[in-house]
Amino acid sequence: MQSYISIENLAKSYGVVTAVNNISLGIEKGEFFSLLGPSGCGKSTLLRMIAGFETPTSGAIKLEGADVTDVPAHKRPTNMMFQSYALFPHLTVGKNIAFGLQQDGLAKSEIRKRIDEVAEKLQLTALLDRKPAQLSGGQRQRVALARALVKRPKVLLLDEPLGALDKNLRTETQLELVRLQRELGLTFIIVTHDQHEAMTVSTRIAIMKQGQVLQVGSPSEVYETPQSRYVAKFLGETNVFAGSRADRSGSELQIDSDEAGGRLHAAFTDRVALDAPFWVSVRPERVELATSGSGLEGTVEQLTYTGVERHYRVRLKSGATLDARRVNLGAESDLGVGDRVFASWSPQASRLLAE
Amino acid sequence: MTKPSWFNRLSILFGLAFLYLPIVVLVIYSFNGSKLVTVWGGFSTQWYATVLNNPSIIEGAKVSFLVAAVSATAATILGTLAAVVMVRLRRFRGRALFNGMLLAPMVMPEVVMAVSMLLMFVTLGIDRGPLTITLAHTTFTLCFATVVLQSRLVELDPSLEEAARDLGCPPAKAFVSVALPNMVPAIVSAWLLSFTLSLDDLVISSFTTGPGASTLPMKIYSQIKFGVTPEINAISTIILGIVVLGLVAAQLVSRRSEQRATTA
Repeated sequence: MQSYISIENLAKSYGVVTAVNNISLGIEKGEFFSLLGPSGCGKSTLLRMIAGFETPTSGAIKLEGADVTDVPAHKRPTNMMFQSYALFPHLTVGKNIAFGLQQDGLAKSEIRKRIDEVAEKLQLTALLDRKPAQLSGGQRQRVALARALVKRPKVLLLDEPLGALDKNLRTETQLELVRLQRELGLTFIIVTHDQHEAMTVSTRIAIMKQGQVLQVGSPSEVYETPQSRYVAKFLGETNVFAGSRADRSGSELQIDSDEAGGRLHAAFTDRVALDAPFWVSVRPERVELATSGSGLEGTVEQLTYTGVERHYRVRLKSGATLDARRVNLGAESDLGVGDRVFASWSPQASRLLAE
Repeated sequence: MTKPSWFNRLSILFGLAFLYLPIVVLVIYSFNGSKLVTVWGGFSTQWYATVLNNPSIIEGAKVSFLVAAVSATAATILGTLAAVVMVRLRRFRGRALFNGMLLAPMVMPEVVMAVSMLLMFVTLGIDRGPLTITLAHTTFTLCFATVVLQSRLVELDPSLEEAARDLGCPPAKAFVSVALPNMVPAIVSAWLLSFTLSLDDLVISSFTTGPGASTLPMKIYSQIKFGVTPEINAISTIILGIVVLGLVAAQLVSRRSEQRATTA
């Protein structure tokens, strides 16, 4: 089936440097899709190719089945919100928002109507006569959003849109973006390096590394079932131990790990080849620590209190470290630095990972 | 900050005196009532009246202002184009060479430039006069205009034009409607700088001029051959005033644009 936006074998290189390496992706109508990765992974280049600012070296971009690869930026039904917001400093907020509509040659009354509409939606009505220099960071961000949305694009592209905002405002704005996207039923594609942001806003996330997409899935899919060590480590924190040998018994795997210094249990999966190097990953919040019993033995090396939770760093007997988290439910910690502990978790909490 | 020591104060005093004492003397003696340049004969503005009634001086001033205005305009237009190429096209064949050639006139000995231009005009058979002076001035003020414009354009967010294109504006129109308005302060200060540079040039003007077209500095220079008169002091003071005004205006405009850029 043809996707709303389909990216087919897209590649972009600058001389000998490959920024985007043969990416294929399908994005559906009404999705809030994230391109997530560290800086230099090619996510911005991919977004800029969708916007029409960069010409792909090879491959195609299709929108509703029509090939738009060679359509210049000013003729594409996409609009972009820039990282720097790129508000026109010499124009008022109202004229900034009107700019795109004037290019389309809309009637003055229609322009007026649409500006009022979007200004009301984004609480900009009182600011229409101000210049960008007179606005706060949050206000500028809303103007940039209004300027792109007023064109009623088929796809809204957001390039690290919240990077300049402080933490509290950023969280607030993320929720606001999601609300707006649902309300308008538009397709959003956002580029971000902040995994928390991607998890918060997206319907699906594409995790990128060195010009390639490693995994695509809903936030819970990519968090719960990462398919590679890189994805597991990039999304949230995790403990990863190299597996040495694996024995299958029914639907369960017994894994010996020299790194962890003991036997680990995991649910069987045919996704990961066990004759190649493989790893077992477990999220810190799934690890249970007890003062007696079975599991990996170690001592508490560090205890951090963040308010929401307690973070234990355990030095295992094998010499490796293991992180565990406990949600703060009001009680004092029964474990202190230097205590001997046994770490265990259910087989379902283990994830088998390939490289 | 620590208080300046007596040594600091003294060196500042000497430095300023070294730079500005001659000019101060010049300005004071332009209001001299005496005919003798070195003898103070009471305050008078008579030499300003003499200047304004001297048709030769007025004629020179007209040529100078015309040349300065036209060459400054041409240099600013060319400088804008050069700055756009230098800033926006990060990579093209010969970029370093182009940059070097743009800036070379800043350090090139003026006489060399003047002689080479004279030779070029003679070779091409162009009649020397206000036109050739204007062309020569455009060449040597171009590099200064480019530097001013380039520094502004570097600060201008390139995503401004991308945003305009994204909103449906074709590339050329995006430059005119978004980048250009934000360069106005730099364009104005580049023009003013070129204008003042052209106005007080003597060497290049003398080499590239022809019969009948003398700029104000050339008139002054030829008058000085018959001795320094208080009239020269008066003309010099007027030119000084115009140049200072031009430079102050250029400063103000670029400072205002800087402030706007930092608050934006």
